[in-house]
Amino acid sequence: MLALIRFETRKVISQNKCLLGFFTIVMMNVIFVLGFFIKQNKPGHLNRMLGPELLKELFNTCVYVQTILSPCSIVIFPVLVSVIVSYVFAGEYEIGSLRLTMVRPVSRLRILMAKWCAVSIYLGLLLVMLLVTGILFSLPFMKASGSLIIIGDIFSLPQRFIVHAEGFESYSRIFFSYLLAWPMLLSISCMSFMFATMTRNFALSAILSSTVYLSCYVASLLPFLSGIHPFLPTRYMPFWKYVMLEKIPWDGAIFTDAIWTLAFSLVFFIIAAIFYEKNDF
Amino acid sequence: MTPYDGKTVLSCRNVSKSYGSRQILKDIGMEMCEGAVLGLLGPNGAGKTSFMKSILGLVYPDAGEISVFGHDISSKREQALEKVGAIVEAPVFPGYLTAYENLKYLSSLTCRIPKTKIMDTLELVGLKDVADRKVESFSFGMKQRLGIAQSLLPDSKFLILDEPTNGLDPHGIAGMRKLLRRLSEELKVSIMVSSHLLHEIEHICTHIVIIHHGAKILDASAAELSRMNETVAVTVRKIHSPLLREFQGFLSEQVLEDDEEFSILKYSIAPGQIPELVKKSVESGAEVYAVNHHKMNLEDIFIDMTSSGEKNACIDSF
Repeated sequence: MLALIRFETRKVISQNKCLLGFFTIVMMNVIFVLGFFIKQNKPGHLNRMLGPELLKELFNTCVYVQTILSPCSIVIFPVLVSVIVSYVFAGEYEIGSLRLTMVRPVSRLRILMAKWCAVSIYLGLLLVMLLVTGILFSLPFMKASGSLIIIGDIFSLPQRFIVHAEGFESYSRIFFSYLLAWPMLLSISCMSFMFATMTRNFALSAILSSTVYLSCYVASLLPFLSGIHPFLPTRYMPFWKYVMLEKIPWDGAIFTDAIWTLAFSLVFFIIAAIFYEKNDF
Repeated sequence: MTPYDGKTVLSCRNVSKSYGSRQILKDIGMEMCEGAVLGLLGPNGAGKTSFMKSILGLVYPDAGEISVFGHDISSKREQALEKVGAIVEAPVFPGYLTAYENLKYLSSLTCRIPKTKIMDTLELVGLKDVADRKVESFSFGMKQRLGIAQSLLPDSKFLILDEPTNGLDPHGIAGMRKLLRRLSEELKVSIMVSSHLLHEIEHICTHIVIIHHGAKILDASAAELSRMNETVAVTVRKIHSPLLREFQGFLSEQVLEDDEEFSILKYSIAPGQIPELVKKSVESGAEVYAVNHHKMNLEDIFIDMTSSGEKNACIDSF
């Protein structure tokens, strides 16, 4: 199994499509640094909202790396995951390289698990790279450290502003939010594997996976559709945002949402395994 | 399931497979012994690749049993394929890995092997000098050679090769022939090979199986096939041809040609029986004008068997 994971990871990391993920992170950083830089010089309504004291504190590396996580983990990475997973399974099926692994004495379930592990490692690397590049890109333009100021709207949190003190308090929140964003992406990867094994078509799988995720996410934001919210996986996936609350609800929202996310992921993965196991190749 | 006797590498019984209303494999059964080189022939779309995929567990048959080295492929696939190497359709490797890396990773899925063994295998297929080159820069023929190398590793005792000579140059084809011979004769590797190069198949295979429209229409050893397809054509006056058809032990199967004056009659007999046939012909009062000995090659047999009942099949197939 380890040999299989090593092989799949090597394939994932080496292919051009995966380098696209790292390129996307650099692009996001360029856009965000520019956005922060412009806001820093023309604060506008932010000055009225935060007041001069908080505004002075706002532009630091901690706020930057925390803020960039939101669009990346909620929009950019899920789309990227859909493409990568679709390629790793459906793409390999279409070009024929999947057969090379399948004629070896390894079970299909193991192949699927190895592919999932490889994608998981890749997603972990993406998050680490986002954190590291976030620090590197923001350092020349902002304070190296400072209080972690959370603007509630950005993270769909009920509180308008949350301020975490500089030092361990801020760093631990950043660390946990990045760490908990990982299971969210893993869950999306399970969904993508489900579509990839169902369709065995790269384009179809990538489109289906990303549109289903985005539709669910948009629906889970609309209060008018609250009746369907409990059935949407996207209602539970971004539980990493709760570590930014003043008191982290480890036993509350984080625990329940994590369990729901795990349950959805398992269902997606089991469906993927059934389709993979039952189909002819 | 037949118990594994240590010599039967592959055993198939009544293997059938359908996609919707189209039956692609019809009740196929066969056995392969250790060291045999089996040529699997058939026109395009006959079901050869599907049959090979069934043996490898890539396609699930609707009915029938397949066992490899005594292990049922459906319930014990991993054990069954432990010593099996295969190329199914064209081998497609991750192009961003080198030839060496591809072999290292793929063979490690079965067991770990030393670098020297990988390099030896690359040398065997003529790719040692490009071991560290990325596969994306390889030609089709080089990829085909790499496919053969991966099928040999780590220590395959049964090779399933789907058109392995595709894309190979004449040197490559000759090399492949030598390699397959060496593997079967020296290392007792059993080989199932499908190819449209019938001349090559004729030279290297000990057994021939022909599949047509999903059904097995021929399963014979090369020696049997050679005997079965020796014919003698006797040219006599047309009025005498009924006399010759009635010989006991020399039953004429068909009239090859019939014009106003002469008939050419075909007999499936060994060359040693020709004098006896001529003697009996003359004794019966028939005037014999010519006796010709024909030996059909594999291509003749293949075309004969796969185009029966299909008028102008060879021309129409284009």
